[in-house]
Amino acid sequence: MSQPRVNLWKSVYRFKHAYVFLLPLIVLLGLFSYYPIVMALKMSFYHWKGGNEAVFIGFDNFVTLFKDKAFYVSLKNALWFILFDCTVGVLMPLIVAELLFHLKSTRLQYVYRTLFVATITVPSVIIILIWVFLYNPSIGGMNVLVDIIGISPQLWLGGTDTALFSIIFSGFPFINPIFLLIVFAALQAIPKSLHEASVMEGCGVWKRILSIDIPLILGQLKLIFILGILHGMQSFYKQMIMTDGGPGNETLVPGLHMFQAGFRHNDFGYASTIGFVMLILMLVLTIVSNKLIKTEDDH
Amino acid sequence: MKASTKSSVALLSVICSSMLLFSACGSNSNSKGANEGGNAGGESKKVEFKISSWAGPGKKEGMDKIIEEYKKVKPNVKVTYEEVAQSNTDFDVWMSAQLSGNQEPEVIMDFSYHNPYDKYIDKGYNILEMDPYLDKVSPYTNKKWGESFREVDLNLMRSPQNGKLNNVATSMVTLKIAYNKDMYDQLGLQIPTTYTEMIENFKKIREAKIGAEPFSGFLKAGAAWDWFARFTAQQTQEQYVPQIDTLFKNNKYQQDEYVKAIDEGIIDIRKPEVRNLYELFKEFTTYWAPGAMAMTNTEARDMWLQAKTVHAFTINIDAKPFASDMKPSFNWGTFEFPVITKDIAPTSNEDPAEFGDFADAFVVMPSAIKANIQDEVMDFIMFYTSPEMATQLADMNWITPTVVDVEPNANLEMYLPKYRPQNQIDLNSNAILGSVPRQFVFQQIQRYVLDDITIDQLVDSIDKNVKEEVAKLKKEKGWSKENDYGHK
Repeated sequence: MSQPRVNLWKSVYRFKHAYVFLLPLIVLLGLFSYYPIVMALKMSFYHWKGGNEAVFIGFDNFVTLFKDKAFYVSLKNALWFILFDCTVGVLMPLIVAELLFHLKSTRLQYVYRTLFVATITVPSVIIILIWVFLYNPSIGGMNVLVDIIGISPQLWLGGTDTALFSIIFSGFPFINPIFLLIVFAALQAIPKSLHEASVMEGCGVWKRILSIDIPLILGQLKLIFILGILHGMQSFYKQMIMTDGGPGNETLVPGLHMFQAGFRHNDFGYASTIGFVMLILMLVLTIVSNKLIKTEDDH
Repeated sequence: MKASTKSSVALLSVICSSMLLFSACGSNSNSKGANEGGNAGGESKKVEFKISSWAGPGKKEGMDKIIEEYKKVKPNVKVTYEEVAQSNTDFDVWMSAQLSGNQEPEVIMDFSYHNPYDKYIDKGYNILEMDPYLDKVSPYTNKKWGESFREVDLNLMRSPQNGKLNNVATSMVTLKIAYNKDMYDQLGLQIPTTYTEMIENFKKIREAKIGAEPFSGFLKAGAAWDWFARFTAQQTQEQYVPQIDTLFKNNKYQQDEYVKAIDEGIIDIRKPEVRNLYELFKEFTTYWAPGAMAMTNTEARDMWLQAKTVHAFTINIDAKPFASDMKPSFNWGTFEFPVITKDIAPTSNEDPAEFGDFADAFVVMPSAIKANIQDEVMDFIMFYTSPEMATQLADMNWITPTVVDVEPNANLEMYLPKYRPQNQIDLNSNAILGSVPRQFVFQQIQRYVLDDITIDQLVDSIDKNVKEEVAKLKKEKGWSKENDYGHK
């Protein structure tokens, strides 16, 4: 029974320098990442306006949250963002990575890859503000564009039916440079011999993608799928800048609801509760995704 | 031997890092201590404090100038000013972080009225009550400091939650409607004096199809709705003030009085004079440029500057940029929000108001109270609000000062208030109940304007929300009919 423990201590002693050097990082990680989670859980049980006084109120904040209609609306809206991030947000980097990977000219492949990845240097706030301008029904360009295809002018961000999807669409062309690089690197790691063999066997492009590429990069696709869930659930600054959650609650998401509770209504106890419930939801979604998507490594 | 040296070095580095961290914290508290120690001295004691606010046109230049002048009078007092955010919203976030870390500046400049109470006192922070200083003689006027302001303005600066003066505002925001004179001439329009005339002008503009919308409104943020609600309410709901003002009897109403009036049915948004304002607002928004729902004040103003709309809201802070780097390419003018005549609202007093807000309000924070430098801070504020300094600021930044006998800059002609309100009444926004019900009303207004809900649904939802929020407040503050809402 005690044998593994002895081995563990021996192992720690053997690599003590590495452990010593890791220790400050672990302390900082605990301080800046895990301590806030513990504090959020603690403050969820308090009526705390962000000031010096915090009054213990038991589960009142949780009861309020589960009765809060705006929270359910925000969850429904977040599901749309998650759905989009996990479908189009995964497919687009995959398609572009496949196209880049199969370019014959190495130089052009490099140029195209750089062009796609260079967009990472543009601050996302700038892109959001450009979209806000484009969506302006009077002076923006979107109504001119839709008019060409015979659609009547829309209110876009200002319309009840259009606001949510206008925000989602503002991610066009939906190619996250980091996701693209992850998929591209994974494709490059596939042994060349497999592709050569598939050509010799007369395998078509689709067959090759479905039978060779996707199964071999499933681990990376799973990663960006889970990142998509987390991104969709956590997103809030885009909604805040573009609509501030309106009209009504049409574009409210849990992150923005939490921000408004904390910094606009000074209800930091309630904001902590929202944050903690978000954390639980994200953990559940991540675990479920992990269980459902099986890769070669999992076996 | 080598390995043990390595591990010793590693451990030493960890210990050193920790010691540095602790010593950094220690040095902060030490410097505070030294400062406090210095304060215990006599007349020439060295005092240092910081003022923080959000950025505004000429704000820093103006403040730096006053600080420079003050240094000549009080060389032992070091005042510094910093702009820590671009907007008041960002400033609130910054202040929350500073307060929770006990790192707040000694003084801030914020909005007046209910803001200091809501943001600080209600969160458990003790900010300086300034009422006692009103009776003190200001060394810069040789008169009681309170005589530097109109009583009506001081009354408006007082918190509607506890009736105390916990800030002093140094400038006044006046709101006007800016119009494109060239387009008015082109269409032969006259400046409207009544709400009906304004709507008639809007109709003519729309019918003329001149490529410009009648009005640049915005509903992403609540200010346009707040302004409308306040201005129209001041004309149509003023008769409610004496009915609500039953506990303090100070010609304004506080939160407890408001709650009591709701309980007693005095405030009821189903009453025609309250409900009608929502309908009036919806009518007004039908003439706004499309997309107002997702626009900010700045975006709406930019549309007007690009001549895409004929009218826009404008505040006196716009005066200087509109005369320089943001000068419109067309002739323009302003008019006051027009009169709501009795044929539209039978309870109207037909006395319009243009008062937007009190701004640049000094709030003395807990850090100054803790350091016991409030007298020194108030001395600076008295200096800042002396007629000589207020005149310099008015000339420099074209602001409308709250200090009496100070003439605003001549260039502010288009923004001068023609009317001064006696009361701040607004039964439509529920702002006095707190930010949550206020946001609820605003969100319902957005839905109503977009035809998602009817007027009956709007009134029902707001009425229900008001009652829920009142119940919450009563529970939280221990108010009841039996204890006369905390007054027994």
